[in-house]
Amino acid sequence: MLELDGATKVYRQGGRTIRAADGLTLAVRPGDFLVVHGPSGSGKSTLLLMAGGMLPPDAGAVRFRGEDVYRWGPARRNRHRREQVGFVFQRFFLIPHISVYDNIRLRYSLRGDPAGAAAGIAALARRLGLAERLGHLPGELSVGEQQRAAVARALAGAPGLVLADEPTGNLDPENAAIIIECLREEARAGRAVVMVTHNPGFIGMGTAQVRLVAGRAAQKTAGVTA
Amino acid sequence: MFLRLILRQMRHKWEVTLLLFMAMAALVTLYVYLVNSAGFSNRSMELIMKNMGHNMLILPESADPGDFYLCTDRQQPFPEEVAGRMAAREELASKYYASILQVREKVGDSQAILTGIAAVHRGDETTEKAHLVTDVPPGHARLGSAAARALRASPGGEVTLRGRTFRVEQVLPSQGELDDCRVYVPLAECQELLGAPGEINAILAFLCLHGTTQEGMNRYQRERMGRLFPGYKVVTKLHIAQGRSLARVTTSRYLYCLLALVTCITVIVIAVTGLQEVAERRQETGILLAMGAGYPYIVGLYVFKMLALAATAALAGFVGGSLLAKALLAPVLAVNTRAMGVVWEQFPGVLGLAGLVAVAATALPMLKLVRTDPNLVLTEE
Repeated sequence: MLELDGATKVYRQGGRTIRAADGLTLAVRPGDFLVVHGPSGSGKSTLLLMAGGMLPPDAGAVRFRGEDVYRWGPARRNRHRREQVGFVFQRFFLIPHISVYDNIRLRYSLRGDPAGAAAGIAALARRLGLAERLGHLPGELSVGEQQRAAVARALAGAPGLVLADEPTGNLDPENAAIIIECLREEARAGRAVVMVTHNPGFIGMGTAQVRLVAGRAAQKTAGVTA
Repeated sequence: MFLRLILRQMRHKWEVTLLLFMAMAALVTLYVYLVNSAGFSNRSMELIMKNMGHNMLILPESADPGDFYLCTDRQQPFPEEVAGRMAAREELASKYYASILQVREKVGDSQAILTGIAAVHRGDETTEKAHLVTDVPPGHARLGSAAARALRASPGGEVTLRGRTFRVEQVLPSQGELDDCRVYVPLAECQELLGAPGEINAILAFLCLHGTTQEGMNRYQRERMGRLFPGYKVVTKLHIAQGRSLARVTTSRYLYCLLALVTCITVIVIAVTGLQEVAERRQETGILLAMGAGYPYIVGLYVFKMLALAATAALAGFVGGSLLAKALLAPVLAVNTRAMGVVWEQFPGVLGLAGLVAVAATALPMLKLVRTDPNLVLTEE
């Protein structure tokens, strides 16, 4: 489903060159739950953003179902993200002025599927324990609830690829476990899930792992294709 | 959902929304106040200038203007119907024609000018834009101050000229001009007294000065007169025409400078607020992009909000500015043509201008928005 083929990303900051991704090659299939870990600055977030069609690599390719995502124009890439990619971030990035319900509904609206919103949101809210919190603004929720709402938004419309960047970074163990379990369920349901984490306890929770060091895949488990 | 996002954002940041609305409404108020007060002041000043009298004299081509000024026997009479034909030609810039027949009269030890006068009306005159000359009633005379002294006449009394007695309708205040020596009577009665039926010596007219310079309008008028009435010439009463022209130019330029200033301030206020808002909402921008919303959608959220605010601010500012102008200016104007109030005909223009200013002022914040790297926003700690 998702392939990174020699994907390289170089940043230049004040005359310094940082290779955030250095020839990354890996593949994620439907049903995979790939856990990406490594020290800070090793390029984990860059990997996710490249995979999600947000950050074009300087060299190499990112393919989704065999097509190079960055050969598409911006409009096609936007559609790809609307329909096929769900992002979860450590800082949730819920839109603060609309309710949890509307945060999730926005995704349906952007996908052009407002009719599917009511049933889909109800199901996600039940699954993530948010049924009583849908009418609240994000600022009225606990940190754990906010992250669950962010996960619900990412999963709205059942995207083929779920990309989670430190989704448990700010959470207590109980909420973290809920999030991890939810992502595992998504993988079991046939979606490809890539999760970045610092938490050693979650590294073994996926079907495969990649350890990144200085933008390179220093270690891959057997489950990682290529 | 698009509108919901905008409305909820406005409600969520209601203090900023209110401030922005108030800033825009205040600036629209100032704009409308200035436009209205300048418009009404200008109109009032134009009327004051109009009340100074006709600014054009029309004579036969071969006539010597000096003979008219000195009221000599060498004045060239011409048919009265010419004035009617001129009034019927809308291509001419002149209006408010008055036919004049005059003769010098000895009154005791002094002299007066017996002046037959008749207003020649045009079809487009209105109550507001009325003729300069009010007709002298039949059998009546209107006296200049010097003529009244020479004739020892006062309002309600009688004067006898060339054997005909006229009741004095009015004695005009002294103007320090030749007109002080005039005894105005109805044109037809003057023609009868002088044995010159259907004849006049001159036509007084008023050259309107809309949309161009005095020189430009004079050229235009002379060209049209030369084409349509080749046997006649135009003499400009320069001081009156110039005064009117300069008054118009002065108020217009003053207004344009002020409006340019107000527009600049509005653009700066909106742009600064917009830049601040784009910075505050960068995470929202980032996540919307991550969810596949394109820049047109995100830019639309800002622009549509600004347009909605501009529209409501335009309405509030329009009403506020109009009422302010009415309250502050109406008591000051020396001459009023119409009651000051809310001139709704101006609203579409104000609305359009407010929208244009809002869009123009949003351009810089939107440039900043599309140059913001969403990846930096989404990965910032």
